[in-house]
Amino acid sequence: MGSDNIEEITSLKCSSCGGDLAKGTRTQYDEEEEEDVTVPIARCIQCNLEYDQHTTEYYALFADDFTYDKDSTLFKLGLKGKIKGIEYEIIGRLRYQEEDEYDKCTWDEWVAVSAEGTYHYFTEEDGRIYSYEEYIPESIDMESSEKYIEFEGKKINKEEGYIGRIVLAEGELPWKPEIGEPLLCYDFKKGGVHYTVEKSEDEVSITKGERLTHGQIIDAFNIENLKEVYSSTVKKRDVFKWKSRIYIAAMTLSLAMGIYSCFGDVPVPGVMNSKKILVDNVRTQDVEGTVYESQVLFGPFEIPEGDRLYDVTVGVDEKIQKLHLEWQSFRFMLISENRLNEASGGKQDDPAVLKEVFEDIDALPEPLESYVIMGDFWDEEGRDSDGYWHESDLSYNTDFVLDEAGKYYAYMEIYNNNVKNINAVAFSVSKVKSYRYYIILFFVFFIFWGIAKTRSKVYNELPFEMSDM
Amino acid sequence: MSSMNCTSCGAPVEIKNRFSRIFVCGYCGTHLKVGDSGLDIAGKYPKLAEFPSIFSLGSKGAILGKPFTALGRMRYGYPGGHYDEWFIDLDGDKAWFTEDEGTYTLYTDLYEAVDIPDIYTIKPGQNIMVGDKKVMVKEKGRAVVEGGEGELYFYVEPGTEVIYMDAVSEGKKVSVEYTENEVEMFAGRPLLRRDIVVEN
Repeated sequence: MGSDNIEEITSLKCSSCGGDLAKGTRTQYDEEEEEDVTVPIARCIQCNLEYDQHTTEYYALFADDFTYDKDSTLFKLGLKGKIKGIEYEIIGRLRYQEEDEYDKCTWDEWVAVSAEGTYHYFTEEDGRIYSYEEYIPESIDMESSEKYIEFEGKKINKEEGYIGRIVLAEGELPWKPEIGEPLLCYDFKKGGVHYTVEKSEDEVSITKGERLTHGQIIDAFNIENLKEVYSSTVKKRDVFKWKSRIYIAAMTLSLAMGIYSCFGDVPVPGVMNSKKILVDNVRTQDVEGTVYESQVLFGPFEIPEGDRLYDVTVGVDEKIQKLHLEWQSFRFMLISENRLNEASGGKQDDPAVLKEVFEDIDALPEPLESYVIMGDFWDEEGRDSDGYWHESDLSYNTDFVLDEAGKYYAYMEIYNNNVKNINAVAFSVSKVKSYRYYIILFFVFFIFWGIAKTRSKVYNELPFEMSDM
Repeated sequence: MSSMNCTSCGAPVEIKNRFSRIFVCGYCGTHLKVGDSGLDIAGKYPKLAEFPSIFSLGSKGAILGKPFTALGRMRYGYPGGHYDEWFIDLDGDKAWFTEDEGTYTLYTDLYEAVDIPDIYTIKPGQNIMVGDKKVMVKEKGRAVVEGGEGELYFYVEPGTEVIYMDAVSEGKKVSVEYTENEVEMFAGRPLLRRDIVVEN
C-alpha cells in the first residue's frame, strides 16, 4: 500500500533474451486511417523482439516522451490548501498515457491527503481539473454481462472503457506503482455527478467527484504566482466572450436583413406601359426552316439609380398564350433614351425610323444598347427508358447593373417556330435590395465570432493548459 | 467488568468488555485468553512499537455521535506499511475501527466463519458470495499480524499471515480477513476525521 520511494524504471532489458531495448518504428495497417502508418515501437537490439504499446517495456522506454512537460501543471507536490473548509496536501502524483494513442495523450492524477483522514484525488486532463474522493456505491457489478457494467442501476458499456498506462510516479502513493502498469478506466456521469471506476490487476477503485475551475484551485491552494496571470486570462476570456456575443448579434442582424432583402425587391414601375410593335410575326427562312420574327420597343421608363443591382425577368405569359411543343428565342436590350434619340435623329416615336434603326443595330460602330441578354423558351415531350416525359423552360432571370440612372427603352426581338401572340412574352425589372452584402457581412461576422469564441475558451497566459471554464 | 491478575507477572487485569476474548498484559506483554475459568497464557510477545494513532488504549469519545471506548488493537503489517484494527466498545456494542495510513473505517457488523470461494483464485472486480451476501472485491492482499494490546475480540498469533480483501456490498465497505483457521467478514462505512471525537 504505502510507498515513499518510487522506482521510475525497473528494466529496459528484453524479457526474452536480456538484450537492450531501443526506440524504433514499425509500419502497420491502421483500420481507422485505412492506410499504412508508421508507429513507434520498442525493439530488442539483439533478438529484434518488438514491444508495442500494450507492453510495460514500451512505456519504460518511451516514458520521457510522455513526461517532458511534467512541470507544466497546476498542482505541485507539497501544495497545501483548503477546499470547502477541508485541508488538503498534495503528496503524490501519477501520470497516465492512454494506451490506444501513439502520440502523447496523458493525464495527471494527484494524490492528496485531507485533514478528514481520507485520500483525495485531483486530476488534470486537457486543461480540466476534477476533484475525486472514494465512493462506496449502493451496487456495482463489473461482471453483470459481457457488454455492460452495472453501477447503481446505470449500465456502462464496457466499450467506453479505456486503458491508461503509468508513465510517471512521484511522491507518496497509496501503493507501489510500476511504469507501464495498466489501469482500465471508466469515466461517466450519473445524476450530474462524475464517477470513475478504475481497475488494475490488484485493485478496483471507485471515486466520485466534481469539476473545479483553475480559479478555485489557485485560490484554495493560495498559489500567489498564478493569481495575476489567471485573473488576466479570465478577463481576456470574458472580453472575447462578450465580443463573440456581439458578433452573434451582428450575424443575426445581417441574416435578418439578408432574408428581408431577399423578399424585398422593388419593381420598376411601368416598364411595359408603352409599347411600339415594330415587326409582328414576319416570316423568314433560315437554315433550320421557317422562323417568325417580331420586334417590340417598350418605354421609356425610369431606372431610378445607377450603379445599382437590378433584376430582370423575361418569360412566357401562358395566360395569354401557351407554349406547347414549341420554342422561342429572344434578345432583350436596354437602351438609354439619349442613345436612341441620337440613333434615330430625334425620331424615336416614328415606328418606320425605329424599324430601320433596329434592322441595322448590329452594324452600328458603337453599341446602341447599355445592356443585352439572349435566351430561349421551350416546351418538349418525349419518351425514354423511364417512359413519357414533358419538360419546359418558360422564364429567364438575371441581374444587371447600369452605370447611369435615367430613362431607358427595352427593345425585344422574338423568334418563334410558329406564329405567336406578341403579347405572350413579358418582362419585369426590379431593384434588388443588397442581400448579397448582408450575406457577406454575415460570413465576416461568423469568422470573427468563431475566432472570438475559440479565444474565449483557449486564451491562456498560464504556464499550462486551461480549458474553458 | 471483572478484575483478575496476569497469570504470568501477577499484574492486575481489568476486563472491561464482555465480548473480549484476549487480553494483552500491559506490563509483561503476555497474551492471555479470557475464559470462563480465568486467564490462560496464549503466548508472550514484544510490545507493539509506538506509531501515531488518533486512539490510545482506553481512549474515549464519540464516533458519529455515539460514545466509544478503545479497548484494544491488533496491528497488521504489509509491504510498505501497517494498519491498526481497534476493538472498541461503541455505545455498549462491539465494533472495530481501522486506521490505515490516516484513513478511517468503522465496522459494526461482523459475520463469523463465513464461507467464501477459494481465496487464492479471487481477483479484484470479481463478485463473490460471502455467506448470503454478494460482494464485489476491490482489493486483495496479504498482511502479517504484528501484535496486539489491550482487550481483543479475536486472537491471531503474532507472525500469522492473513489474506485480506476489501470489498463493497450494498453501499457498505466490506473487509474480509482470512486465516488458516477462520474467515471473518466485517461490514461498515468509511469515516471522516470530523466523525470522530476523542476526549483523551
